[in-house]
Amino acid sequence: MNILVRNMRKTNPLVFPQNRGVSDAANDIQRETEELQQNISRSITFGDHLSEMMERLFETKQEHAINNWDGYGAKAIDEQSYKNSTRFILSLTPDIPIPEIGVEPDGEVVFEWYGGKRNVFSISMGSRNELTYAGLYGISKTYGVEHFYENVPDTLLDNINRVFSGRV
Amino acid sequence: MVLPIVVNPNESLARYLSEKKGYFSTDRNAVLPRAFMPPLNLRLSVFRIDGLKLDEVWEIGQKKVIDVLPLPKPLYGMADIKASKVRKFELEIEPSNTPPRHADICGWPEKARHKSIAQQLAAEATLILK
Repeated sequence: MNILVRNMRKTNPLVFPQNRGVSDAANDIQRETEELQQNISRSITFGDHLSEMMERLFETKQEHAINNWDGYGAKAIDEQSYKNSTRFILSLTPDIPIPEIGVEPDGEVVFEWYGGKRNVFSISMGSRNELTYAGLYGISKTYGVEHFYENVPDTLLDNINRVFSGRV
Repeated sequence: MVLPIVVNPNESLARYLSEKKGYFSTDRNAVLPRAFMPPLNLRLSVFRIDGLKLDEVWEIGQKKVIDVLPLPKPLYGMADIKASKVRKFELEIEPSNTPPRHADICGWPEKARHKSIAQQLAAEATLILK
């Protein structure tokens, strides 16, 4: 039963297996899959949770569309990071609280769950599906890199939940 | 006031805030981690503000930071942090004095660790709004 619940938590109907082929045909299939995911996500069928995150991501893209958006030489939002972020959002189930979404100086999209000064978890989405994360919980901290394929790695889900669990 | 060449551990450093979303929270009266994320050149710009009145701190922020930005932005306030808190993470504070009182926080490690450091610096900093 525990396994079933855990798997359900990680599964979103919009998550399609990622195409790992390298041929032109494989690239076409991957592109069409991403377009299909984005089109489906724009429908209202999947509820406010998903729509709000996609809306926040889109606004973030518009606000960080040009280089030097911060006046300190920051890069414009990385297009591949943005695309990967749409897949990332689609893989989040409705029990995951909606994060703040922004862009870091290197152009990577960042998702941040903030519960207080010493209760925060942040994930940066890289252009090659690498998820760079850091969390601060009281005097405890964690950081590292995970890879993103179809589902959000358990390490990251556990950290997101930790922000809201009161375990600080 | 003449500042020492080497930044004193008790000195206050100001990181001026020209972005709002993700940089500070008025509801929580808190500096947020992105305020301390280093730029691409890994030299995080700060000003040494010891011995200054608050009006003078804002004047520096306006003239030396906001007015030289390529895009018009407001000066919302600053994240105030002690030099000792910065050095705790093995970061260096390099005074440039160009412009006067300017310094860079350098020595940032790889991204995962500098995200973690930015979170901890934000937790240690005091939000002072203009």
